[in-house]
Order: sequence, then structure tokens, then C-alpha cells
Amino acid sequence: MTKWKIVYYINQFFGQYGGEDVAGMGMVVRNEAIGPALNFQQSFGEQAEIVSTIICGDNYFNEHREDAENQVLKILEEYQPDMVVAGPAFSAGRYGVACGTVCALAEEKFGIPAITGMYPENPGVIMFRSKIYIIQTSNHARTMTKEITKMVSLSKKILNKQQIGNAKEEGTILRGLVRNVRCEKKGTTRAIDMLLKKVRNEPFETETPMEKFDQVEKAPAIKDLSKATIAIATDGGLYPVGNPDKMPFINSNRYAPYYIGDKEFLDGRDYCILHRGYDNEFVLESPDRLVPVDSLKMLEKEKVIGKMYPYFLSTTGLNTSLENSKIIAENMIKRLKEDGVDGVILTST
Amino acid sequence: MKLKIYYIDVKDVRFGKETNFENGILTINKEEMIQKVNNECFSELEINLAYPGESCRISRVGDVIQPMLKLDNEEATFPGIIGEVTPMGEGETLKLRGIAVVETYEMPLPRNHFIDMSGPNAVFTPFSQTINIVITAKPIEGCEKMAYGDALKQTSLTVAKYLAQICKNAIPDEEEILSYNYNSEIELFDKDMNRLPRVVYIHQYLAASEQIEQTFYGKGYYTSLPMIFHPLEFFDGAMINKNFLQSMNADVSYFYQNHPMIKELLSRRGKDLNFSGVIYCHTPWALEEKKRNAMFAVQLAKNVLKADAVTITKEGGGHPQIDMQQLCYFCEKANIKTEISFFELNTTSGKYEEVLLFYDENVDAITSFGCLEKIELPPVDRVIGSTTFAGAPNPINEKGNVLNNWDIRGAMSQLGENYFKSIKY
Repeated sequence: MTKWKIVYYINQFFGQYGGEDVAGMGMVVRNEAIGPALNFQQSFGEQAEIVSTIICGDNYFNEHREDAENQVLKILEEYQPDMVVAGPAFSAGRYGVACGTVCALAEEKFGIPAITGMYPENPGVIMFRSKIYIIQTSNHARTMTKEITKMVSLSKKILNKQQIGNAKEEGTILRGLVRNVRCEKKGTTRAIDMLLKKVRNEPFETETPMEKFDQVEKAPAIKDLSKATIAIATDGGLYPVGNPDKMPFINSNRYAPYYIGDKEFLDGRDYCILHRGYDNEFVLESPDRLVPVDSLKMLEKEKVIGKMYPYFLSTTGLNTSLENSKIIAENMIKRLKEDGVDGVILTST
Repeated sequence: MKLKIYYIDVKDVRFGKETNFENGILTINKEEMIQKVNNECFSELEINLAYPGESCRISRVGDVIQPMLKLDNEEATFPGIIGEVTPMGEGETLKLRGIAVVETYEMPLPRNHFIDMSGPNAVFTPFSQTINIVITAKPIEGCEKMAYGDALKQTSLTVAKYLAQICKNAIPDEEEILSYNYNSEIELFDKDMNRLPRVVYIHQYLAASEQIEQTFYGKGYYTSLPMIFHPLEFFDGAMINKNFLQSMNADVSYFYQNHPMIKELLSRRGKDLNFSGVIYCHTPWALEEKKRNAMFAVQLAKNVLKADAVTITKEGGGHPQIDMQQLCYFCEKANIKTEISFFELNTTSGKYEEVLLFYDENVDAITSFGCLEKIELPPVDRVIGSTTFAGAPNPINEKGNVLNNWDIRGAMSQLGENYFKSIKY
């Protein structure tokens, strides 16, 4: 049977060197299991061996970040462990950041799976939760045994390449990630099971949780349209032929402005479309169907609007995350405001 | 209404001189079949076989169809497309198992699909486990997209019917009798002392325009009021996928022919629920239309089918979620409990972001039919269909192509024909 090699990281306090007075101590490597590492070893049993315990002062790690990181990398290179475990750090901020850094380094630089444990409000959580698994702990070390048990259970699953459940099942802090798992029951069976539980007033759990959106306040209406500058922005993915700005075609996080100038309409021969969510043929035939330059020019001549903003702003809105949509919007708004645009027509596909 | 389905298991398919079916082996004279199913829109029609376990990728897959035949009225098979428009869901039907007709689409499309017969991507689709009869039809020069799509659909359905015809005299491996009557059976489980909850299924369909459509009796209903359909019609070839242009959001015909949600409800009827009917409900574009539509559908559920609970599936991408939300809103207001199910988009980055496009406390029960994930395409020995592929930077049999799991045909089913769910971690 293979024995998993584990490198364990703890701070000066759990390494039994002392408290705040020795927080400046440098990094020490001991080829044995110490403190929480020993608990972990005992709880894990024979199949794992803590090949070394790294002990470092919290102040040292945070004040000499680069040195500390380099030392960790060296140690990992030397021991080549199957897994790295750190903490748990509970609510200790500097310790949490150190644990997160060590784990993230192991995963990013060597592809070694790594876990730690923290209290949800530990600053290390926000910094590292998307990168590594963090067991959710209490804010006090008196629950050490309980936390170590959870960490051992998750470590075993990771090392044995077993399916890892959702955050609630594993007791981890939500990483904000999503992936597919295979279920025993077919989708339709689970659907009807859930519906019938709801009918019978039994507890049930939705598989797709709902999140609240920000409320956006309506902008006040334009007072005098005949003096207003109107722009067009689209998520239909219209770009000049050859896509000179290398715009992404899925989950984009940027837009690009393209000069219209005095053109009365857009010529399909000058443009291409990067958007696989709709049939591009009709827009390529006449891009005004997406970016209605012809109509705005007419309204400009008829003095219904003051003038058309001489650029159209284009992005590809396909599987775009809210996060990226916000980035795109903020950047678009910045430009439009600077250029004195009063209103914008958004066209979507 | 009663539908008797005879199943025949096809164990092997070969090309040969004779066309026949013996001992589970289907032999096809290829030239003869091509002559029978060819179309003037094609400059070339090729038929290939793909076997489970082979290092083979079927490229640019359009639809997948289960071979079937209406035994008591062969002319009516696949009504409205190659058959006469005749009521379905009654009488006797023959279906072949172990094989599938796969069409490849040889014109440019915004998105393509593929099927791998082996390797890491094979586990996601049931069509890596069937022997596939693959139709590759090259369009004649100047052929219109719409004409090509229609021709392709006619040919693939004709092949599906033809294959079943070859096997029609064989002894069936299994028989299944489905029966369902709106008039009497709705009441059946009400008489019991322990009255079972009446569950209605709302099948939300997408028919946006020509060839972005799910068809029923050969027609996509681009504008339509919600309608009550008979559950057995679905199993009898009345519903066919004709969505080439946004195919990633549509299930294949094979899944319609074995509609998993209706199957589930039929199988639990009398046990823990009373299956009270199916409402076929459109997905319009505008919000006001969505509201009207949902209102009418819920009226049918409440006043005609007397639903206690409603389960809803959708087709299409993002905006059909709003229809689901509207349906839930009107249902819950009418004291009907709701549950919705769908495949989660917006997850290609691997991050869990807003999967839902609405916020409504009435929607508290959602089943995940999986989420979008990135997949790699390992090189294969043989490609059937075109080697150029929308979205793949390299030829499809070469290294370096990363696509999404919905590009695998049959991997994503919004009707719930799979075992995946997404987890948030």
C-alpha cells in the first residue's frame, strides 16, 4: 500500500516556540509531526506520513513574504509531497494568510493538492478561497480536534481521488466554483423527488441556489433630445474584418470602440462577427440591423436628436459572467461620460 | 389511449450485398439505401458506421434519431415531415435499440457538435454506446440553408424509418404497453382514501424561427397559446428536433422519442403522484408575451387539469428562464407548488456566478441538470464528417482543441436525460 507523503505548515505558536514574542522567528523545518501535524497524523492513521513540519513566525512570513515563499518552494521541491496541509488558522489573520500562501504555492507551482482551515472572517479566506479548499473552522483553537477530523476526511478524499461534494457536505468555505458531478439518480427523478417533498411540506434543498441582484436606479430622462448626443453599444460581437483587437468570443471582459464618422450606414464587407449564440448571416448582410447607424443618421438629419456619437462600442455577450459584464459596463460608461454622451442605445442579440 | 411499443435490440450493423436483419445483425446494402433516401439538394450523400469503443469522432453532428416505425400505419411514421399528419400515441410502434441515426450538418453553422465513440468525452453521451449510422450529405452549390436543413431532416428520418422497416418482421426483444387517458385516469387516483398529488408537466419549448425550432407533427409553433398534449404522443415520433442554428440549447430527437420527464411521471403514476397531464408551452421573446403565456398555461393547469403541483423544463438558453419564473409566479399565486429544472449556462470559467437571470422567492426548488464545463479533445484515428469545426482552432482530429461539454451531442439534456448535476464548492 502506498503511504502518502504530507508536508505540514504551522506557525510559531502551534509549533510550540512561543507566542507574539517570537512571531518574528524565521522558517524551521522539522522532519517529524509537531502540534496539529501530530493530531493530523494520528487521525489519518497509517496511510499517511508527515514527512516534515514547517514552522514559521507569523510576522516573519508576512514581513518577508518573498523570502518565505522562496523557502517554501525549496522545501516542497526537496520533499515532493503528495499533499500539503496547513493550519488550521482559526481567526488568526497573519497565520491565515501564511497558510493560504503556502497552500496556493503548492497547487500553483507544483500541482500538489493543498488544504487548510480558517474561520470565515479570517482575511486569508477572501485572498485564497477561490484557489484552495479551506475547511470552515470556529474562531477558537479549542475545536482543534473537530477541525482536524474534517481536514483528514477531505484529505483522504483528495488523495484517493474520490468525488468531492459541495461545500456544505465537506464543511469547506465556498470557493465560488462550480463543476459537474455524477449522481445515482437521473435528473428527472431528482426533479420529481424535490417537487413531491415540497408538496408534502417536507424539507428539500434546491440544487441551484438563488442570489439577489443589485438594484440599478433608472437614469433621469433626457430633457431635450434634439440637443443630445446618442451612442450605440452592442453585445452582438460586431468587429472590423480580421478582429484587429483580438476580441474574445465567449465570456468577454472588454469592449472596443469603432469609428463610424460620417458613414451613412455600415457596410457588411467591412465587418465580421464573433458571436456563436445567433445566426450571424443577417447582420453580416447589413450591420445596421445590429448597429442602427442608418436610422440614427436619419434622426440626426431630421433634428430629432442632436447628433450621433461617432463611435459604436462593441462586445460579445455570450456566456458572460455578471462580474465581466460589470467591468465592461463600467469601462463603457467611463468613456461615454468623458465624451459627453447623453444617451446610449444598447442592442442585444 | 394505449400505445404498444415493440423493441428490437440490434447487436451489430454491417454493410453488405443483401439488406436484412438476422440474429440481431442488421445488414444494409448501402447503395440501395442511398438511392432510397437521397435528395436533390445533395451533391454527395455518404453513409458511415461508427461503433462503440472505436477511436472515432463524428463531427458537426446535427440531430440523433431512434429508428422507428408505426406498425399499423407505416405511412404515418414521423408525421408532418415524412409521414402523413395522423394522431400519434395510439396503436403499435416498433423501435430499434442499440443503434441511432446521426446526421452531420455540412454547411457553416455558428456552433457544431461532436460525438466521440471512445476516450474521455465518450462517457458524457449515450450515443457513444450506440452503433451509429451516420449521414453526411454535401449540399449542391448555391443550396439555401433552409432547403438543406429540410432535406437533411427528411433524409435522416427516412433512414430511421427504413432501418426499422428492415427489422419489422423480427421477434421483439421487449414489449411495452403505455396507456393514459385524460378523461378517466385523472380521476383514478383521486378515489383512493390517500389522494395522490396531481402533478402537471409543463414542457416549455423553443421555436424562434425556421430551423431554430422544435417541431410537433412537423411544425414549429413560433407563436402559439399553451396547449394540452397527450403524453403518449411524445414517444411516438410526433416531436422532432429541427434546431440546427442554436442546436446547443435543444435536446436531440432521440430524447424526445423517449421523453425522460414524461417517462418518469408515467412510471410514478399511482405510486406517489397522479400524473395529470402535459402542457406544451411556447417561449416567446417579449416579457409581456411571456407573462400572458404563463398566465394562460397556469389557467390550464389550475382549471382544466386541476394541478396541485407543476414541474417545468425548458429549451433554449438564457431568456427561457424568465418564462419559467413567470410560470412559477402565477402557479404559486394559484396555490400550485412548483419545481423547475435546467442546465446551468454561464459557468465556462469554472466560477460560480449568477446562474439565474431573475430573483423571485416563488422559485425555491430548482434541479440542476448539470453545468457548462471545458473539455479537451484528444486526437482520434478517424473523423466522420468535416474536420473543420466551429469554435475549434485546429482540425478536429488534432491536438489543442478545447471546447465545452455542450458541444458533445447528447451530453447536455434540458429534459433531464442524464445523471449530472452541478455542485457549488
